[in-house]
Amino acid sequence: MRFPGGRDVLSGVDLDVPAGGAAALVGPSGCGKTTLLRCIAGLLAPTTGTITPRPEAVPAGTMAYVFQEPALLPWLDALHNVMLPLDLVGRGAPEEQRGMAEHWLAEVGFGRDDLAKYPGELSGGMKMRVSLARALVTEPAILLLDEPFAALDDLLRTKLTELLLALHARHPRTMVLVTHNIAEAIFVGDEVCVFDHGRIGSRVAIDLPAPRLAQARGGAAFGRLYGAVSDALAEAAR
Amino acid sequence: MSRTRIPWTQLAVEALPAVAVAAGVVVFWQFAVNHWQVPAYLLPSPIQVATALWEKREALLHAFWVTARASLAGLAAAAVVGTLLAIVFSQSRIIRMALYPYVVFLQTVPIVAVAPLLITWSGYGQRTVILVSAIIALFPILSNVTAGLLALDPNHRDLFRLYRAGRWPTLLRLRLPTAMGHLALGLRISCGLAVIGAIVGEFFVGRGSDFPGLGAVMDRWLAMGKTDALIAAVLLSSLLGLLMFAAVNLLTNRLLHRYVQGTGD
Repeated sequence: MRFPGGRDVLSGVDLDVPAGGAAALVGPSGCGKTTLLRCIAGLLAPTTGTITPRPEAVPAGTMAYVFQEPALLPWLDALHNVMLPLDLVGRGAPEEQRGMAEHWLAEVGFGRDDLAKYPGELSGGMKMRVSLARALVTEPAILLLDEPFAALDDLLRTKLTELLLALHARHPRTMVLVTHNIAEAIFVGDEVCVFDHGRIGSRVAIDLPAPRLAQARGGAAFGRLYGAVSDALAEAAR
Repeated sequence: MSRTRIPWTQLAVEALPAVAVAAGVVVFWQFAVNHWQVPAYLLPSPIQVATALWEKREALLHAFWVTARASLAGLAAAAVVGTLLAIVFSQSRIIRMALYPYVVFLQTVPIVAVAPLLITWSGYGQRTVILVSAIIALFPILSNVTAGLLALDPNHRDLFRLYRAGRWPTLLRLRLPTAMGHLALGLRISCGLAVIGAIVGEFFVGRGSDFPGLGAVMDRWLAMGKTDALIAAVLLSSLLGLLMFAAVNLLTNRLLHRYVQGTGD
């Protein structure tokens, strides 16, 4: 992937995520993680190489993207923010859309009493839950997450990571997560890919048993994996 | 979310210095006219202006109403035409490059030079007054709404692209709502201009006729040397501008406050 001006952002990247599996991408800022995610989503066209499935070949709603910011539309309440993707892809009558949006908001732990609240009235954590529900409402086969919990405090971040894992266990789908947080990468990914100047420098297979919970942080297996990813990151930053 | 209560006491305290300056000016004005015995046709005293305001209240109120109607109609026309043109401009860079220079050109042509032409084309009537008002009020709305339609949050734009929203859904569900805050800003700038445009239009349309707007009565009283009534009309014109601004502010705050809140991140 080459940006205008001739700078290669990604080069020789080979990432294979099995259906229903999860890959976590970590690496220093500017190493091309988000660019890769945007290419997978079809928001950027790679200069060379192929992406399977081709983003333009899959029906709209097959892929969902969770941004670093909740990116909710401030003029829509929580419920209508979640209904929006269904409306855009033309799926279901308004009543069905409402039902699906309510279902996914409940799945992410968003209270029924807050459905009519606008983004300006929600806390950071609640907004991120709405953002997650909006991504899941079309029941996408592929979920792309670009540092979704980066702006949240540690406690909330852990809580939402556990929620993401629980949702993944209940409704398995292919996930690619970009993160700067090593613990988050280990909890979510079946494989952690460490980016090094536009290519995947090393890969760490995650063999932690499910369910992966915050308590596992203290375990020896977690410590070993944390050390491996941390060493690879240090190498990439050199 | 409960609506913010208006802090009247704080507003009164904040307005106090401005009110004190106005009172000081009026007192000095009265003193200066008496002390230097300034002729009334040159500068009447505040009391003479107040008397003229009272004596000509019927004509002034009627003129106020006529000009207010023309200004509102001009502003509404500018809002509709400005928004529609902005939608056209937002659709393609080529269109913007082809048409925007002419809009800027239109803006730079002095309205007093164009007004006689408009009378030739549109006649001596309210329609021409509204036209002049709308032309003056158009540019801020057009430029602000165009900027708003193009100033999408990158994440929102990506979201709509991801779900392959077409041109119309993107316009209706994203671009127009995003531009509402810019429309509010444009309306605030344009409401004062709409009043100026209406009065300028009335100056020309009312010349030599019985047209009852503020601009026309000002022109008549100027010719008759009735400076006290003329100043009363000028004060009412300013009041009209202020009322229009307050009304537009109130309306946009009430109706568009969701759109002016930012991206909700």
